[in-house]
Amino acid sequence: MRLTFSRSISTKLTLMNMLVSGAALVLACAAFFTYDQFTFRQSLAHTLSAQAEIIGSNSVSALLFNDPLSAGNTLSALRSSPDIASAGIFARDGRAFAQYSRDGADDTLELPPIPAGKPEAYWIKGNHLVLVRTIVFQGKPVGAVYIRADLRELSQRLRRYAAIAFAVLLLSLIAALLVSSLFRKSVSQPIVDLAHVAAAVSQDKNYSTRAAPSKEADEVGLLITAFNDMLSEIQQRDDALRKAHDELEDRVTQRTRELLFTNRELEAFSYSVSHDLRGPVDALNGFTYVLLKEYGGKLDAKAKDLVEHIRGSGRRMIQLIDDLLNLSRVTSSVLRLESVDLGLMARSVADDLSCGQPQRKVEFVISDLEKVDGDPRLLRIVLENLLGNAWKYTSAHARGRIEFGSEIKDGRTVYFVRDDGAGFDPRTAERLFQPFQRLHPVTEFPGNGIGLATVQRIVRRHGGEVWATAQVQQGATFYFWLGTPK
Amino acid sequence: MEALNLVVTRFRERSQTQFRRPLFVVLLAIVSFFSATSHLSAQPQPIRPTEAQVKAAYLFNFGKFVRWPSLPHQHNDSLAICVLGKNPFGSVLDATVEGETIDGRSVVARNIPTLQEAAGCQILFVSASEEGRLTAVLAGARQLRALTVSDIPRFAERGGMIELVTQGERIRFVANVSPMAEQGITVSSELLKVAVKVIGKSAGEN
Repeated sequence: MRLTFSRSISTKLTLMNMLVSGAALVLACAAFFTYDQFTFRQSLAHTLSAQAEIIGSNSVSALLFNDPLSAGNTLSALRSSPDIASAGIFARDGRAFAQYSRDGADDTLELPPIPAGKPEAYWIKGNHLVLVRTIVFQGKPVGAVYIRADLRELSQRLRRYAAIAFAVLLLSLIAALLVSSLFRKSVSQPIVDLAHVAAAVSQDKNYSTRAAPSKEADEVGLLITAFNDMLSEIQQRDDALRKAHDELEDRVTQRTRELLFTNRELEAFSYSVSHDLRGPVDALNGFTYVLLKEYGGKLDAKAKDLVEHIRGSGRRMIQLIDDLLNLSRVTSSVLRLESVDLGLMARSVADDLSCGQPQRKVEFVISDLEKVDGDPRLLRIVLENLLGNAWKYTSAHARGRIEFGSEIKDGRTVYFVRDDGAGFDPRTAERLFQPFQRLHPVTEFPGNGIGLATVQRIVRRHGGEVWATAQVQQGATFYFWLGTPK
Repeated sequence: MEALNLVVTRFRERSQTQFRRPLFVVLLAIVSFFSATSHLSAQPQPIRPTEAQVKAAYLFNFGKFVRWPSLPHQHNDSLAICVLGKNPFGSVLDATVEGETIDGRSVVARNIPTLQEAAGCQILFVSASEEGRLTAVLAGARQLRALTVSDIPRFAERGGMIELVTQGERIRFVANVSPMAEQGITVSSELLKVAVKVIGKSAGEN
């Protein structure tokens, strides 16, 4: 696993610092500017109000004695205030009495109405502030002063503010950058280091690695300590697990060796027993043969019959011993692998069976099969046993049918031998493959119960499995598959 | 924190006033319409006042810019404007001063046939009918310490204080500060500012 840091935590911290300080500054600037706009307008209104008051009181006599020239002179004093765009004095009846314009323009002024009961009022109209003040003399209104000032200074202030705010913003961002690079060492660097160590551990599975311990007693330090403790714990458990595993392996090897040894001893024992048993039985058979040949005439019918019984038993015993020897040879001999055509082999076995008992009417249905890797000598024993059993257990029926083929089950080729013979009780199927276990009495079907045990051993040595399904009197099917030979 | 609160509150108030501005303008228009007759407004021009009305208003307004020496025998609860000789104003002067006060003193208008009845007059208007006896009148008035006003030609040059003159359609005045200074009558520079001409010497110029 590879960890990619698209944006490292230190970059995030730096960004956060800069964003926070930037946002705070912008907000503060906006608030101050709003406040300043407000107070500037108010103070401008105050100044204009004072000027209107002065002009008003200096114009009283001009108004009362109808002298617009004098009023105009008073107004022209406003020339010293460059903010004032125009001004005017109105008579009591609302008629324009005198007026002043900074730019000399002779625009006709119109008196905006003053709310009743108030000496003055002001409005902001577009880029101008308009103030109107009633001139009161001896407690009576005698006229009104109108002053219109432009707010050019306000927009100048706005520009100045924006420039200052931008400069301060830039400076504070640089400061935030510097501050976060100072903090990087103590905050983000340990986390970044820890992340690198964690990535390395999960990549290399090397649990002996440790993160460099932090000098600070904060959460990051705690995290590093906990991480290291966790690694120690994992390492301990890993060691314990490996130790247990190794011990188990050793024990298994030892047991296997012991088992193999015991097995070999047992096999040697059974082989020697079988081999040694064969000698006396051969002798027994030989001597009874001689007894019948040499002294057959002297024996009565009953004695002859008894001797025949002895001979029959001797032959069965020889067969039994041979089968036992066969079984142990199957278990111990080395596999000689070749490519085997099981279909061809099955036909050969079927021919042998038919030749042995030509009077029986049995139909063999054998499929063409792909070749398979295996020991042909042993696989022939398998087919001889399975087809032989089928042949044997169909003998009670007048006509028989034996099928050999393959089918695909769970992705592997499974071979089957199907007959329509005596079958067996499916509950007893497990006992089938144990040596000397027979499901039918010898008197019904002859045999010694070693064949299927042999089949099972051969199939298992080929890495496969054998099993059977059946119903009583409805035939049996034996399945097997072959894997990798051992 | 408090400053910030203040800014926020101000800002809110400001946005509210902006929001309510159209309503405010409508209210203002209604109020101003109803108060138009009694207050300053941009109403159409009224009928031009007559010469008598203007002169009566001037007589009354002079009282607002003049200070008289305090005389022990005068009662100061009213300010009397006296017209000597044939009254050219008719009822106009009475109507002008009706209910008016100057510096808390009620203003009254009186018509006097001779100077003997002029006691207590602060402003003395010398009617054109007295032109023949002007020198005697001015001499007599000196005892009164009254502001003498007249529309008799060359009134100021002949020793009167304020002479009303007609320039085109406008009525203006010439002030002679010498008799004012002699009699201790002080006149506001505001008044002199709007005079056509100021002759004589004021008290401060000696």
